[in-house]
Amino acid sequence: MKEGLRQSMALLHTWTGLLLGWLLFAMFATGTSAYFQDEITRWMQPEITGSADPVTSAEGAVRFLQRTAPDATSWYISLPNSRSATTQVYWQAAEGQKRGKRADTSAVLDQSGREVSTRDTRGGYFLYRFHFDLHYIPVLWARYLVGVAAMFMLVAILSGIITHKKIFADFFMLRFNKGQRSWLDAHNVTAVIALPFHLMITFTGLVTLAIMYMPWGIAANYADRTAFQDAVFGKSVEVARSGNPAPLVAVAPLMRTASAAWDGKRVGYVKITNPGDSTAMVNIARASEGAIGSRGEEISFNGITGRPADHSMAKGAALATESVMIGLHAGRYAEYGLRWLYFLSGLGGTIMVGSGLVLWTVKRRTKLPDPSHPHFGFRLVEKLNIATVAGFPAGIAAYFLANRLLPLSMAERADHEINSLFLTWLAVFVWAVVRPSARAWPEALGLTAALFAAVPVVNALTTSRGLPASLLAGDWLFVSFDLVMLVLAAGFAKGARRAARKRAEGPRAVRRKTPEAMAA
Amino acid sequence: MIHLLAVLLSAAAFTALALSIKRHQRDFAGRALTERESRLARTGGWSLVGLVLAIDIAVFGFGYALVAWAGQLTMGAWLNVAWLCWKTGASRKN
Repeated sequence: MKEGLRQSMALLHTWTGLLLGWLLFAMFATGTSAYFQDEITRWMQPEITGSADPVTSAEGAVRFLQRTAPDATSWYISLPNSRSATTQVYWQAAEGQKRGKRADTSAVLDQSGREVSTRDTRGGYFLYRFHFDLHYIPVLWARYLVGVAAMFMLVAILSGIITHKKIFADFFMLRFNKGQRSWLDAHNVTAVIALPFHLMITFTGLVTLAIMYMPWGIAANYADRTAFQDAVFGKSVEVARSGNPAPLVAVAPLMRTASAAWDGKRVGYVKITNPGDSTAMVNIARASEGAIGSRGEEISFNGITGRPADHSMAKGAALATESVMIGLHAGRYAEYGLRWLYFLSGLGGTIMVGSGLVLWTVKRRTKLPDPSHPHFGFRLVEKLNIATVAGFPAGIAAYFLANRLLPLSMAERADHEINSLFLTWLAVFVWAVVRPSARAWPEALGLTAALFAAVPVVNALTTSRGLPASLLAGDWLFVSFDLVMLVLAAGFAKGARRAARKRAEGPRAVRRKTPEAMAA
Repeated sequence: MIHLLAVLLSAAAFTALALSIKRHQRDFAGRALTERESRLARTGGWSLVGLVLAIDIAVFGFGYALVAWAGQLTMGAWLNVAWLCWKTGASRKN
């Protein structure tokens, strides 16, 4: 057993990449889309137009909450950022009252504080949550699973770097269309060119849930989780209602004070405890788009007098580091130029994972004892590849289509949109299983292309914000969304054509799909 | 807009760096470069990489600049790959 380091690393790379590769593909795809989650939400709520001012929105939200939940324990107001137009409010029911469903203690408001009348959808937020919470399974399990996948990803990246002999000397050898090697090239190009992004995103992704994955540091040093949080974030003082009613201070001046203290950065979040009581407190947090660090500054005010209460504790070095790492991962601070760079790098990462998965079969196909009857493991990988690399994007396209096609009055409409994604994914999987793989590839990729191409068409037919109209109106958000759909459709169509041509050339030929087609 | 400029400069930087490596010179320049030209390309390439960072720092501030710089270099490298692909594709058709 005298294996070189490089061989053992190659082995590690192959298997850590493959085992949870399909999950990683879905995580990469939804994570990439999450950089535009506000834009996706706006596209999926075509009834809502314009932008919203945070101060006006906060005043509107307070009016709504005073009407709806005057004696709640606390109100949480998530204000619109520069890319969104709605306010999300939650409230915690007063003690003794029954905790209702989430829908009973939350609402989406416009900036005047009226509940928005838009189609029921979870928008881009669902894709964002799927990225780390998955769906249909308990969140806790999902996060462990996602964590294991991300750890595998990190191992795969590091072992991949060691395996790739002369990563920098060969940098300019990267190109496509060199025949048999093209899958390997696709994998190498997408991996190497955005390597800083891949390393950063995988590592910081693990950091976002590090306390959950590595709880022992806290367990060894603090009596319980609350003691840790008090030590790190400052003591949280929970004051019971005094029972003496007192009018709530106006939030607008407090927000201006806070904003001024943060060099004019926007307020993102307002929390009001014990509203309407003499013990009321107003806690104001900086918008996450204001700086790279995701844990922003906060200021507390007395809810009656409006005088600043104690400032939140200054962040220690560890907390500040964590905050910047999570901020780098989520990219909430990025303005549009950088946001597109994030998105394109994420797209490259998705292709890296997809091409890596296909590479596993391409490398083994020629070594099979009987290529026309591959063994079970090979068939399983091949079917899962078709189902995921073509099927998951098809599911996302179906999610967008369902948003436009499901009846507006449908009960549980938002859930049905989500079900459409998974039903489509499942359908492609079943299709991949029943069809011979060589046929299933072009068919599944063709279906995905058709679904993406249908999105702008259906949008134009069902709303007044189709591509021609939004072009004329200069509605760049809708224009960009439709164009990205068309580019994705073109990419998958090109992939389908390549796969079909490979099949026609003969069953033994290695199928390939140009990465630039997938990238597109 | 500044991102677009930075991406184009990054692309130029990578082209220059590729030109400084012997075995890529035929792909990019169509001929072998002299020792002096190669050295010039190497210096120019690295200078451009530095220039992009300097522009980013001036426009965005240090932290943001580092992230933007990494992204712009990535896209600049992509443009080179895309160009090589297009060229190989075109020459195959001829």
